[in-house]
Amino acid sequence: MTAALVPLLGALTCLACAVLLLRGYARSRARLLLWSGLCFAALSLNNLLLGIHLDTVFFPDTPDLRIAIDAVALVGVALLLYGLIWDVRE
Amino acid sequence: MRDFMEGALFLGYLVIALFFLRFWRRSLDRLFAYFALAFAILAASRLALTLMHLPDEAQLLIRTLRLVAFLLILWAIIDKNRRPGRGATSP
Amino acid sequence: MVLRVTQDDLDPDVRRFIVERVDAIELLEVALALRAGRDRDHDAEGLARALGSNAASIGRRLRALEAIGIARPHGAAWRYEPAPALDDLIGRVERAYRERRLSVINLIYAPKPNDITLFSDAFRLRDPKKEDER
Repeated sequence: MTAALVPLLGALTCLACAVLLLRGYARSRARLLLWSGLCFAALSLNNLLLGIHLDTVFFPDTPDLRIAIDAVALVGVALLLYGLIWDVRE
Repeated sequence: MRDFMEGALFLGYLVIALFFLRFWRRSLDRLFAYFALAFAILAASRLALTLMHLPDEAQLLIRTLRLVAFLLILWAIIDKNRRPGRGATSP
Repeated sequence: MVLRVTQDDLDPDVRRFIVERVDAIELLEVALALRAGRDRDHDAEGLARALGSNAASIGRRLRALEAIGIARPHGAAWRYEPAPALDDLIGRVERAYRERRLSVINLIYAPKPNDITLFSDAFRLRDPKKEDER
């Protein structure tokens, strides 16, 4: 069970970031906030899935979905990188 | 396939950290320093798995690194909301 | 630190127009001068004399106003030719400038939010506008 604690903390942290950034996007329509909000949402999901995967008490015998779990993080990272490269007005 | 994804995530986190570093230099806003450090540590956590040979130690290190990264992000948010100066010029 | 000015006394459309489009008083004054003489042609030299600037600077502002869709050149002359909705907005901006001149000027020269600032501000849990009134 304790193996899942860090990813779950990560999931909550990233969810908080996602909510704040997407709220900021709703207010300002600044696209960087959209991409970063989506990235943190993906990272939150990634951490949540990782936590579930690592948790052997409540979710024993989950198949090895680590590639799919990493893919979620990779999608988030790709979105943020796209936004950082193309959509930052300074 | 996993090695590829680990490598891609390592590089992705690192580049994101570099962007946050740049934002920190532009704005002198501490929040970006914390985020840059957090993402650099997340990158390191991806690297740790490759570098370390003993799986148990690796797991502990990775978990610790990720914990530190998330706590840094949480601290960045708390710091942003703490007092009237609102995380302006970094110390 | 940065003076992040909020002018809650201004109409939100007027505020948005000023923050997004107006980077100097001169731009605003040229627009309003064109509007005041909307049935006439204007030229950079004439406007420069009337407003107390130089023709080159006024010329730049006229081109900026063209990009916004407020002014249109006809040869060497310029005319006030906005879409009706924009004309209405400029009218409100004019009234704001007349009635709350310093608020408008403060807003023109307040630092414009860029994406970096907006990203960081997103993490303020309370409404940033209310903070600045402390």
